[in-house]
Amino acid sequence: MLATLEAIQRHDAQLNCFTKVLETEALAEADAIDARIAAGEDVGPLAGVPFAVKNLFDIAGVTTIAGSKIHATSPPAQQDAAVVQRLKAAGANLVGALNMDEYAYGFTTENTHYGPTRNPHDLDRVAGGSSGGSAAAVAAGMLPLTLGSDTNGSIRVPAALCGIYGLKPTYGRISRAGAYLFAESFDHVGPFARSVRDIAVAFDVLHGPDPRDPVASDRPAEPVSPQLERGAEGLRIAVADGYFSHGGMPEVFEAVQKAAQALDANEAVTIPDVEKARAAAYIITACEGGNLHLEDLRTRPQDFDPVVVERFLAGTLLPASWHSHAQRFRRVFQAKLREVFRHVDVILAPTTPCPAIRIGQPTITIDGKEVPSRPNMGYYTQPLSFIGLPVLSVPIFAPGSLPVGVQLIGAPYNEALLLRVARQLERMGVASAPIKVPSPAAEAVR
Amino acid sequence: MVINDPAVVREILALHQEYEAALVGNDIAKLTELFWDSSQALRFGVGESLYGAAEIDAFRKARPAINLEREVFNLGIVTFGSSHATVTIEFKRMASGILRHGRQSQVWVKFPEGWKIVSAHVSFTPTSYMESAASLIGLQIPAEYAEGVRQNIERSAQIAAPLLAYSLSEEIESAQVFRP
Repeated sequence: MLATLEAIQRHDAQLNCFTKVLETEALAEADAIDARIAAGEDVGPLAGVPFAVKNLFDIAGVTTIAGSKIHATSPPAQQDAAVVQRLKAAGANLVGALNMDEYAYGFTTENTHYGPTRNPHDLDRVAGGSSGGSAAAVAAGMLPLTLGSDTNGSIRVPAALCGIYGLKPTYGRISRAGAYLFAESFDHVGPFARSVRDIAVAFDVLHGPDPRDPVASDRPAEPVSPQLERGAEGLRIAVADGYFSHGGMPEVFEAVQKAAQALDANEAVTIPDVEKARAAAYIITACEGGNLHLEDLRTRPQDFDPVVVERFLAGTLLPASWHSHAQRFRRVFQAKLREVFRHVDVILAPTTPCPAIRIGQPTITIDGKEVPSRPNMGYYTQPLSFIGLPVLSVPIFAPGSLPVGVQLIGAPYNEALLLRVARQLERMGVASAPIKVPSPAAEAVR
Repeated sequence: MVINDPAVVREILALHQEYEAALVGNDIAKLTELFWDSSQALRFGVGESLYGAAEIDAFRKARPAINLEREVFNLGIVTFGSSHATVTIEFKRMASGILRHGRQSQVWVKFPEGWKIVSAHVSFTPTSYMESAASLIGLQIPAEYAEGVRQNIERSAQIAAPLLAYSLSEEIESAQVFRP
């Protein structure tokens, strides 16, 4: 634990991952865990593992800020979020809370109130978002495990840009109780780590029914760790074409190809109506997000992060017909995906259209066309969370370049298959998440 | 011809106040009395074009007496000699749940039987979708964000267009829960 706190001390001034470090509590808990181990107790599969959570998760005694200034004056949370409870019960030791886009409405963690989180691979670049602090802290080796939330890509995008694993489980599979919501129809929570095994162990601890979360699935937990080494043998794996093979920079498609070749995945699969799915996800997010904050938008709009407030205001005003149409379209898209998954078990697609952009970079150039950078970071992730599919973003490094991610996409409740495929890629050395300690020299240059 | 003879202006001001009180109080008899009793009297309302005293009177009688209160400002009176005048106001009032800004012009003529309105026109200034929708949910868009919000709604409309063009059959209901 001392080593973890030291690493945070050493690197976080550069990276700006943490909004709260629970030094005293973590040291006391470490002693308590040591004492229990000394007494011969079983302290759980995550005994002594340090972890931290995106600052939208409740931590008893700490104010849940969800990246905002508005909530900074709220009273401290009464109890831990369900996922924090579960990790603690498995022996893990909570170290702090991590930076994010305000109210999770962003893909870059360029938070005006708390500053941007920087990418350990290049301090001038974003960590991705909205769970940017969660991804960068793991990528820099400060922590082996963090939690984030993903509504339209907020786990997968920062995992890809920081070169680590990030799992967005099936909707309802990991409890959101005690997590500050954004757009309830798509809000998921999940883990970040640097190895497939760590993701699997965390998932096993985290998933399963929870009466505290009204959308939690009743489906019993199915441990995936024991299945990991079965690899991709016998699985039908295909590469998503169409929408998912356009609109990105060459390096993201090269990463998908690299993974596909390693897995002998020669088939392509077409997911239909993806543009409509993305549009529907956009509308629902805007409406639900806006409505959630309506009271504060009425009374104190000036206290929102200026980079999100106009989207929230606009979201409160969109016609109800749009929202209903988008919600009903989810049924159509779900049926189409069910059909797709009759012929394939795991689908490969890029996670983002490009590697990490520079902090403040307004546009990216794709196919010779300049497009706004921030909304487009969710181009490949948004249509999938739209119907709650489980997706794991695996990190792929090309020599001398920034990491990118490949999404492994499964049918609902098939997290185990995704983790098996990821484990195979990891074993083959195709996927990897090496620690990137930010160099002080880079800081000096900057 | 004397423009704005103070005595004439005072007369018209009193009539304007009388008219406002009758309007807000839905005193139909008084309102009818203040209009010229002629087939050539005219009143263009916000949504109705009324030709002649009979149509104006019928409209008054059929009108539901709700939300008639209005806040009047920028009253303008110009009198021409002792028997012609124009009265203009701006006003704010609630209409269909939205606070609207409106304008009203009246032409007054003095007949042997007294001053009468011979022609009137009432209108609301146009309101944007953003303003109407915001007002319906009790939201005030700060001026510095208004243009950004307007653009955002426009962009959302472009994004939504292909989705809304996708026809959904009546049996399709929202999907909230996911099963394999």
